[in-house]
Amino acid sequence: MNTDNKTIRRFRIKMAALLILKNILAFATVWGLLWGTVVIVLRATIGMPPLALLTGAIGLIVGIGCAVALALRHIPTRTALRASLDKHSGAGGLMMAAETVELGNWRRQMPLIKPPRLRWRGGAYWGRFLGAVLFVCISLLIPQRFVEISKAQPLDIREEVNELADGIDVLKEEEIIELAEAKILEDKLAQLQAEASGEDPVKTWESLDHLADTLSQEAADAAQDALSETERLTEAETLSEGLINEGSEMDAKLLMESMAALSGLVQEAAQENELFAAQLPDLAGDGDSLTLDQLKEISAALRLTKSDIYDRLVKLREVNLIDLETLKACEKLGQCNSDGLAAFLAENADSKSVVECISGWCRGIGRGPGHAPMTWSEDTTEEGAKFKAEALPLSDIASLEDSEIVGLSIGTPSVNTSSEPSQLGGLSGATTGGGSSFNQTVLPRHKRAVKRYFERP
Amino acid sequence: MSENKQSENLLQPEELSPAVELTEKVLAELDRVLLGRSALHRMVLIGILSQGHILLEGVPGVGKTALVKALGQLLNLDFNRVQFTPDLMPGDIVGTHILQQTPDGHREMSFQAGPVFTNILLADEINRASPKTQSALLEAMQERSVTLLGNTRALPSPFFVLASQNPIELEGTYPLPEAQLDRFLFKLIVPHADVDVLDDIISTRRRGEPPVPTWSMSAGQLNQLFDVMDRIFLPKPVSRYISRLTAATHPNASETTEDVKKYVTYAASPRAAIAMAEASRASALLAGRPTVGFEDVKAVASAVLNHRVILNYQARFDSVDTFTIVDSLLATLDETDLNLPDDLEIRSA
Repeated sequence: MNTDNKTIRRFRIKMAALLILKNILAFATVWGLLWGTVVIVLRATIGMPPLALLTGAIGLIVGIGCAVALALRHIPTRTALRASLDKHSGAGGLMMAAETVELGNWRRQMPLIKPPRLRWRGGAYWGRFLGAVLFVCISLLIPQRFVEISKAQPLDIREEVNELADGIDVLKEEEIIELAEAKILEDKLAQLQAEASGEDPVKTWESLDHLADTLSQEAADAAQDALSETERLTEAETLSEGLINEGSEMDAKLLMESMAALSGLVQEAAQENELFAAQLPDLAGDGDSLTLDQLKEISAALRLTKSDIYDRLVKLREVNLIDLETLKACEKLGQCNSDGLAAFLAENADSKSVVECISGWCRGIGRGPGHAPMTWSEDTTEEGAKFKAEALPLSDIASLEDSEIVGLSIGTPSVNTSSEPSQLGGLSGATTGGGSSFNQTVLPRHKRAVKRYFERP
Repeated sequence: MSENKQSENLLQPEELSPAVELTEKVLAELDRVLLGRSALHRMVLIGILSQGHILLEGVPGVGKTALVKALGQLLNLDFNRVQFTPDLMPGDIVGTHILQQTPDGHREMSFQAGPVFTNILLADEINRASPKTQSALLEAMQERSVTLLGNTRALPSPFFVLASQNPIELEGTYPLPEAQLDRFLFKLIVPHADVDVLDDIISTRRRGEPPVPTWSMSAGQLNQLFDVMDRIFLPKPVSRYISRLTAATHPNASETTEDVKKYVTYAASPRAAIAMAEASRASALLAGRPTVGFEDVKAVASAVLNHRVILNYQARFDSVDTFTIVDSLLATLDETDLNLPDDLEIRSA
């Protein structure tokens, strides 16, 4: 091999090495970006572990092979390289001619052939390659929670769910709801928490509100029962305390009537409240003659039972199932004041029964319910009466958010000067002149509360 | 490997040296006769060695005619000058038949050869003649023969047309058609002389008359130069470069430049590639080399291509001439055809 061919060979190897390096960097950059993208997509969609995705490196090896093959295909021919050497050595065509003709004496006059310098501006290639490597590393090392998009973004309702769960527990514990019903509510709550999605928070919030309403309604019914019971217990306690403190001031007849009334109230309460029944002393014998000790025990049992009822309401209040006013009402209804009761009974016993007197004593003077009998028709349905929950479309919500106050009226409220009576509130639907009844459709679940209110003695 | 090489074809230094000395002598004599025109003399000699016709363009008084006359004297060739004018007829150039009486009293048509029957024809201000007269030169320039009344007569060998044209005073002129321009090997611009040259002329030349050449070449020596020219080796990469360069003047060529796409209407013909190859050989000879290099092609490319590439009106509006286009091609096109990526470049060690 002569010097020319050696030079050309060295030059060719150098150029091949540069082309191979360039192709490898270019391919590795493209592969890195592709690989990193696939890694992120697979991790995000199916949660594939990063270690399994390292197999993508096999593609890199294959690609490097392809890059080398491609580079070898693009290596200039020996003739072209010879021409390049001729040009950069200033051989004036002699080196090119040497490929096909014998130079003879010209070889001695030919300038020294030196391989030209190859300069590759590969900064951009290296930059892009390092960027791709960084991208692959990030795609593999980034924590799963940052790339997971398979699940919708969860809505954080843990606080609300815990609150409702506490409410259910309290209702279950206090036997306000059946265990089966509590189980259903708990399942609903668990399902709601699982399906809570940030994509549709309105639906979740509505469901939570619905569940909270259900619990609140149950609690409100229970609280109403508790208030009524507290009221009755307080009446019995008042009578009992009155008999203990002022029984000696009563005449025999009034004392006997009071003892009978207390006995009736106590038995009625014992039927309704198991705790009270358990605390109640043995009232064997004639109920009209209770001993002082029995009266004291009855008072103590009544106080204990009222305290238990109050504690239940406190628990309901603690889980926000009833409002503070209900709790205060219970506390007020539970206050017992028997000072002067004997005199009050002596004064009113002729016109009213002892029970009515006690009721009036405890409640004070009020307008009270009407005496008209209540007639209940067949059960109503919730069709048309119940508020139908309907989620507003998102666009409407957005429009509400964008709404603006266009003005406020500061005019004086108008006064109705008509001689006709106003038909508002409880008189709505009643005809003037009397003789008519007020008809109101109530929901089945409200029937008990309405009945209880109007049927109070 | 060496068995396959054509060792007998490459000129050896001892064969080339006499030819190179002759060319150097001609150039030295021309430089002595006409001051400050070394580059022009070199290109004209290249044209002569390539046996091509040359179109000289320059304003009056820059030495075009003097150059042609000196060249004729140096090469020891017959020289005729024709001043082209609008009323010049083809017969005034190629010759005509005239009725003559023979010694025996008969009359016959005899051919009276025109001035074209010479070795060097100076067609002065060729663009002033009518197209009909200009076209009379077509056959002479290409075929080196003249056909009249069905009778073809060969012109003396060698035959060169050295035409001149004036780029100003274009009123009443007839621009040479592309077909005729294509037959000129070179179109050379004869520039104004600079201050130093003018100073030399007026200090050394009485009334500006150039000195008579003291030496002239014999016909044998001229033929020897032509023989050497035939043996100048054109390497394959160089011929490839010439072909690519010529093809790149075409607006639709793959290796063309944006300037060509934008400004060129008609590209160079294959005759341009042939002319470039011949002129490159002559350039190599003048450089004292038996082989043509890329630098030889670059040296003659502008002179070969500038009158063959036709530009559009846009080029005129943008003040772009053919020299700009050819220069952009020479700067852009990689001679070695390595097809390297843009970010990989080769620099001389």
